[in-house]
Amino acid sequence: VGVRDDEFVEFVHRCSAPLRRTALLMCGDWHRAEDLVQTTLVKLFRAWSRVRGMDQREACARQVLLRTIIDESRRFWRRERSSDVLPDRAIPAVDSDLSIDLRRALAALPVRQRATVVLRYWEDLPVGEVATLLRCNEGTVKSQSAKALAALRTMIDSGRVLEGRQ
Amino acid sequence: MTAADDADRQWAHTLLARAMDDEPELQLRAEEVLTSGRRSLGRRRAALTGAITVVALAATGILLSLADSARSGAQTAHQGQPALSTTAPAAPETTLYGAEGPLILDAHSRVMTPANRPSSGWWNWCTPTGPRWTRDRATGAWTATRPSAASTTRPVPNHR
Repeated sequence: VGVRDDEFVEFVHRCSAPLRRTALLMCGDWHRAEDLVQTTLVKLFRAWSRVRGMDQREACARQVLLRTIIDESRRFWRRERSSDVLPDRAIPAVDSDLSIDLRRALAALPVRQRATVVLRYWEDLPVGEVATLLRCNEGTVKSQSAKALAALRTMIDSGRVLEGRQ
Repeated sequence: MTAADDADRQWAHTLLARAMDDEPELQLRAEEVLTSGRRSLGRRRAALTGAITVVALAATGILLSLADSARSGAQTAHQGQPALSTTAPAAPETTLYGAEGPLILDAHSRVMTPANRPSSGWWNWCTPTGPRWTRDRATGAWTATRPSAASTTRPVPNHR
C-alpha cells in the first residue's frame, strides 16, 4: 500500500497543474477547476490499482476529468435554463482582465464544443483521439471545432468579448 | 493539414493560452486527495458489503422457503395424498351455521374458520385453534378434528 500511495502522490504532484489548466478552460473558474481536479483524482485513486499499470496515465486522467465535467454539466442543478431576468452576479475585482473575458467567451460555448476546442487546440490531440475521448466520430469533432471557432470569432468581432482591447 | 487549419490552430491556441494569464497558486495537496480517496474507497466498500449482505439474506430466505415447501410436499406424498389436485371445488367457500356460530368452510385450504375471523392461510398457520376440516378424497366426505386431538404438525398447504 505504501508504494501504491507514493506512486499516486507522485502522480498527483505531476498532473495537478496541467489538469487544472484544462479544467479551467472547460469551466472558466480557477476554484471550480481545482474542485474538478480533486474529484477526478479521487476517482482515479479508487481505480488506481488498474490505472497504475497503464502507460498513458495522464491520458486516462484527462479522460476522467472530461467525463466529470460533461457529467456535471448535465446535472439538473447545474443545467443552463433560459430566464427573462438576469440573475445578480458578484463582479470580480479584476473584471476588466482579458483572460476572464476569454474564459467567458469559452463558457458561452456548448460543453461538447468547448471540450473539442480545448482538446484539439490546447491539449494538441489529434482528431481521432478527441473523437475517442468524446465518444463520437471524427467528422463530428471537425464540425464541432469549426462551429466553436466560428462562434468565438463572432463573439470577439461583435465586441461582446475583448471590447476595446484589441 | 492545410494553411487555413494551421492558422485556426495557431489562433485558437493563442486565445486559450491568454485565457489563463492569471494562474493562481495551486491549493490542492496530494495528501488531502489521498485522504479523500481512501475515505471514498471505504464508503464504496461499505456500500458494496451492505449490498452483498442484503442479497445474501434475501437468497437465504428464498432458499429456506423453497426447502420448506419441498419438505411439505414430501410429507404429503408420504401420507398417501396427492400433491396436486386437478379438480377445483365447485364452491370454494361455504358458510355453515352451527352451535359455535357461523363458520366459513374454505375448500381450497381445507380449513374451517369462524366467520368473524380472516380465513386466510396465515391466520390458520398462526392460530390453529379452530376445528380443522379435512376431506376424504375417495368418498368426498368432510371430517372435523379438534385442536386437542389434532397433531402438532403444520397444516398441509394445498399445492394448486
